[in-house]
Amino acid sequence: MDSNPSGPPPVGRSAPAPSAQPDDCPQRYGTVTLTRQRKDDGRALILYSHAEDDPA
Amino acid sequence: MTDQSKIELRFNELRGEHVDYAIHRQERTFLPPRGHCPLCPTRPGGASISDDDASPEGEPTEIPFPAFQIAVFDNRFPAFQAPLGAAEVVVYTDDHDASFGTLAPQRAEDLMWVWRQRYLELGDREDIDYVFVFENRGVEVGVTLHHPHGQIYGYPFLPPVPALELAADERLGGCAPCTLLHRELADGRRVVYENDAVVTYVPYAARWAYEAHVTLREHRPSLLDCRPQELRMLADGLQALARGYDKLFDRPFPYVMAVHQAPTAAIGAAPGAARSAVGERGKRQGHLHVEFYPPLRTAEKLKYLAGSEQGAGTFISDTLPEQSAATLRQAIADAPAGDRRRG
Repeated sequence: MDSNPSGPPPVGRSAPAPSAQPDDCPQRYGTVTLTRQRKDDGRALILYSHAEDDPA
Repeated sequence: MTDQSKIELRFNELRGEHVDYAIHRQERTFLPPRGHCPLCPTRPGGASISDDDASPEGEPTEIPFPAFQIAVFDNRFPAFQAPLGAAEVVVYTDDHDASFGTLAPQRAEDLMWVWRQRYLELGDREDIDYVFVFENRGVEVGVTLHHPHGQIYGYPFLPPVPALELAADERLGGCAPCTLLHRELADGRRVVYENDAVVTYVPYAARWAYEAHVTLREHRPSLLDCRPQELRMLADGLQALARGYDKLFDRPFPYVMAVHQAPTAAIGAAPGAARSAVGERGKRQGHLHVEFYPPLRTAEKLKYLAGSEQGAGTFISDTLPEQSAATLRQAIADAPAGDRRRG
């Protein structure tokens, strides 16, 4: 079990860097869709919804 | 945003460890009444959605929407903050009365992807060497907000516990969690739950009466290395344990849940070398597993870290892991299945 001969799936590593996306542009990641927001005080807020619920 | 100057990292030479001073946290929200929960959705007009008596002119909560599924935001009272780390809050649901164990299975699976996405993004930052996902549940372990949530710290250094796990790899001549998992499966007495992807067991040398580790069967350094089916099975294993804990004494069971993964710094790489969280560069060590530290040793009695534990670093336990495992195994079997109505 010290090796992973079949290799990791490409799902995560092929994803674009989320920070490169503009705010409010929904992104699919696995089973979720994430949407970036910015709170009034400048803090980051990310909302995640189940992808089937949010076809965007 | 918190003034970075309010956060100070000092190195304790005698212990060989960092201490993080975040004095603004002294003023953080502490066990607010239900109607003032900052992690609830915001009702139209501003107040917490769980506050039946709140003024409609009230302030919005941390999540300024009337409903949500999972939300992640920068901690208002961070222990770490860019450019020296990160501190995030992960809210599992907009249901104030839910818990990790009662989330719908699909929501729990979604949460695994949220953890994975945060590991990917935070781990890619130059100032973060270790991404630590965790949950404190219950006032017994210091919870200050009851709404179901966890946290993520991005440490600007490798903390002592994951460093010890890497040292165990060296001592055992290979992946320590792989070796220990093989031993537990061969013995069998402390295994409390299994599915196709994870094994849950009370460790041979558990420190806490009902400590349990949920370990990936295959060697996966991090969530990024898991197949989608493994993430689903990981969520199943974690929820089965959480529900078993609640069944154990028929009460909400306090715990610390600690997700241990590979460091995101390029361990052993030259200064300035490419980071390793999202690629094959550098030496990636670690084996994804989730450790639970419950402070209860009976329904009413807490295990305290006292003289031997704090002063000498040696845990004294009142229970044998084999006995605890038998009790916990039965509790998991007797616990109700996940409530699929929960969001």
